[in-house]
Amino acid sequence: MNPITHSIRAVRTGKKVVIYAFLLGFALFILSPFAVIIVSAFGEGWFGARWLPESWGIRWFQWAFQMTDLVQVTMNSFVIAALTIVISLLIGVPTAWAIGKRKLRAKELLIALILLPRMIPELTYALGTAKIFYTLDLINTHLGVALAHSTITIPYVVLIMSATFEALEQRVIDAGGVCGANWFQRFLYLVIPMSMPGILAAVIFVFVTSFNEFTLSMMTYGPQTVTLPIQTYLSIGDGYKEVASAISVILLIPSILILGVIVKQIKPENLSGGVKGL
Amino acid sequence: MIDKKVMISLKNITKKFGHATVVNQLNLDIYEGEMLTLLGSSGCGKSTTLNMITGSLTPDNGEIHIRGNDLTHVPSHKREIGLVFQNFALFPHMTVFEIVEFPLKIRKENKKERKVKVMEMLRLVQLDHLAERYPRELSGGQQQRVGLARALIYQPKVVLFDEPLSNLDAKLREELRFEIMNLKDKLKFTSIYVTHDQEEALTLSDRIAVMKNGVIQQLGTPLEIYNEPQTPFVADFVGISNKIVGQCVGKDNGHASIQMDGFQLRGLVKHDEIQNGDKVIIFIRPEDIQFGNECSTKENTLQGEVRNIVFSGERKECMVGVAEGETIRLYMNKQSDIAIGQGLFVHLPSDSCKIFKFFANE
Repeated sequence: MNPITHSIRAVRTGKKVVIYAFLLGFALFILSPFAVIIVSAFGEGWFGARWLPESWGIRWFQWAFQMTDLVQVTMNSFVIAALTIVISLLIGVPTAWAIGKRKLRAKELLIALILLPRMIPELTYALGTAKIFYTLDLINTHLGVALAHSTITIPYVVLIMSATFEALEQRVIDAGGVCGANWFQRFLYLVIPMSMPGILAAVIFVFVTSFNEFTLSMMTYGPQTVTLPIQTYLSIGDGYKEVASAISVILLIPSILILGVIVKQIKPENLSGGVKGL
Repeated sequence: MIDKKVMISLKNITKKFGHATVVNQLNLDIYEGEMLTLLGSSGCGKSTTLNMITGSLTPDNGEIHIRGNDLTHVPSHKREIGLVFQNFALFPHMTVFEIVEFPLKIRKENKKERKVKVMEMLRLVQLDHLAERYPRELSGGQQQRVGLARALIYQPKVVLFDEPLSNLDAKLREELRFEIMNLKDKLKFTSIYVTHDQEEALTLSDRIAVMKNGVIQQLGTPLEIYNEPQTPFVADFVGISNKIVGQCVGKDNGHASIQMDGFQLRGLVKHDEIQNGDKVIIFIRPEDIQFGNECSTKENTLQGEVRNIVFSGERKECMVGVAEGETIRLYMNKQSDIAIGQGLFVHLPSDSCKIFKFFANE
């Protein structure tokens, strides 16, 4: 073999090895905490310095359901996430419309103000929120936790939706007007369907953020509004690491399902001009 | 037209963007059933005028009447007009059927009737086999047919066209041009057609309004616009003309003699006041120029040499040098065997030479 092609091959193989090593390292880095959680949730008799547990089972899940009000807790998480979605869209979408479609004075200042809750340390923000909520009697209500979550999800909605609205072709909406549609019909039949990819992205983002949110929930929850992350934390505090692992596996499910949807449904070609069938 | 009923009336409309006056005190009546074209280069105010008629812009001054009603401040969804867009502006999330159905759906028409009407309209624009497709799955020509169908489905009395063919290639442009004419004959709407393409304007329109700087330069039938331009801008903008600059040296009833560098021409003065000594410009169309190997008349005949020949398919276009720095363009039969370098006499009939005061373009 020609020595030059030989050395080129060697370099190529070397490159490949390096790339795969990096990929593997990255995967390990990202996935190993999940692996540990899953092993400790399903493993029984996992003591000492052993690599893997003695046996597998769903005992910790049974414990989780016996020791905590897991059905109620899961419900709380979903109700709060749903409320957060509604509040965030109600406030975020009109704001995004104003930013994306209208000529505003001091637009940058407005955007900075909207992003502020995301910029300052969450704990600081949560502390202030808690104080206000105690005064307003919003502690231990679903609405209260959802409102707290909304302060950090609204910036996402505004950012995603203002970019979506900005990209909408005004001519197309005008065409609806010439066809006889008033502003409400234009919004309902044209703007919303055409913005569907953005709306979907915003809803997913808000849901995941609210479902997984810890700090703000921690400062605003009460006995009736314990969420899955809070319950996980409480179980750790009680000394049941395996139960906490089992709860966090449950906590993982929606995020993984949504990730599947994202990978399958939201393809770049769908992002321009509406998702079919929605 | 014996019975001229005014359909659209623009009364003294003015529109400014900042300090720029885009449309300047424009007055225009469009008659029922006619197709009027606003012709001009970009920035002449033609699209702004159209946008004021559709309602996406409001004039700073003046009134817009459609069928006798003042619609100046009526929002566009209440104006009952059809509009065909340059970039099609189809609803990307709807099928062809749904797009064409949309105006009827908004008008809350019965679902069954809607379907019949939409399919009939789609047949008319030859798209019935593509009813379930999305706009992104269609070619440009098909997309604009959908645009046409959407604009016509609710049988508006007024249909506006905003450069509908300028995003299409030449062959399709011509095809759709004839289709628009056929649809107009069938559905009998009144229309305003905005374009910068003078060929489109000449072939489609009943009347043309040539615009420049927000003002109508000339309003007339395509024949009048082409044969009798009233301003040097119109003469220059519509069709192809030879432009020869010279100085007026003599006048006699409607004609003038113009001195160029090394030769003299006689031409027609109609619309401009010209004095002896004025700098003028002569327009003459290539197809009006006669030529031959012998000199038959002395007047307006120049001797020249063929400098260049371009074969354009239907004819040969020939550049003849007649004096220092002066070439004249003329058309020849495609079979003609004239060669570059050959000597030629060109005759510029004096009635085809139109003389205007010299103007600097922009």
